[in-house]
Amino acid sequence: MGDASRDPDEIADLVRSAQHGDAIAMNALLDRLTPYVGRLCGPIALQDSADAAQEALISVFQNLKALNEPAALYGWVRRIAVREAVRVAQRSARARPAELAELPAPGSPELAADIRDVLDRLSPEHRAILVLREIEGLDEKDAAQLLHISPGAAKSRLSRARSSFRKAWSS
Amino acid sequence: MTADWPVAEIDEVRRMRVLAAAIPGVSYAEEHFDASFDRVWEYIGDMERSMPALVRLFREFRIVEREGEQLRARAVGWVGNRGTFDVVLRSGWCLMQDRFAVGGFAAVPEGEGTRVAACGGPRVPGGKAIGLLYGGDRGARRILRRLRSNLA
Repeated sequence: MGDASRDPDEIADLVRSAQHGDAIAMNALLDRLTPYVGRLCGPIALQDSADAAQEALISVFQNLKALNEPAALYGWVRRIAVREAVRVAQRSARARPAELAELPAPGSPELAADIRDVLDRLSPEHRAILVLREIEGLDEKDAAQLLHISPGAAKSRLSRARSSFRKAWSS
Repeated sequence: MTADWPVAEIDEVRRMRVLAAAIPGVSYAEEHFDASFDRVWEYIGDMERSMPALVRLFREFRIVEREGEQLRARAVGWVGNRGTFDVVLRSGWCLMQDRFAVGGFAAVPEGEGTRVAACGGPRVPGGKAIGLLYGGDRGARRILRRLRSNLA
């Protein structure tokens, strides 16, 4: 999170130049945002994460002119990336056979060998809340707001997701 | 808890799709080439040779400054028009722009061959309308046809 490439003045200059159609500035911004978007989309969209990250970045750059305050860039990008990752993962789940699309899967998470296995057993919505809490460090209220769900639903999803992890780690 | 979380990998062709979608009016195309990535990029990366051969607007394309992956190039067109291009050049990625135009190439290994993307177009207000006037994505497809022919 705190990497040097997030110098606020430098980011603000790049955002403003990119908003005016400077492709070299867009490229520099893409260099900075791609790893961040990749970290958000990876655990939520899993096998479709490259598609999700691409869609998220397209949405970011097509709508960049709507960003009035460059300092809000990363929070704005986070909202778009999580939304796109959940959308792409849901679309992909619908395209798969019904028994695989039932999420969370009925199988036992105790058999999970690693983090990817545990994530596979959760729905995109459960993975999203987990990413926002564990990777981004958002509290439940902010995570719920970003996902357009009630704080109660966020708490319940988080509890279920964490429970899957606990079972996997303690097995 | 976050050490081993999966991370989405965005390759250079996907990056070019993002830029092409964000710049109004640019022509964009991508195709598979049987030639290896090294062969393709050796050709494209030699911009003083490849740009005049691929982009018909250029009679000459000369690198005048180079600092890491940031380059500056002077281009001369067929009617003597001149432009100074800022260029970003690294393996699998080339992006250039002057006051009036933007363009680029991206390449990634694909099987035994290479997927190559090309994009280019005007960098002026109304670029989208101008791009449509000049045939949408046909310009980028023509560039890839020349590349295929030149690699043969």
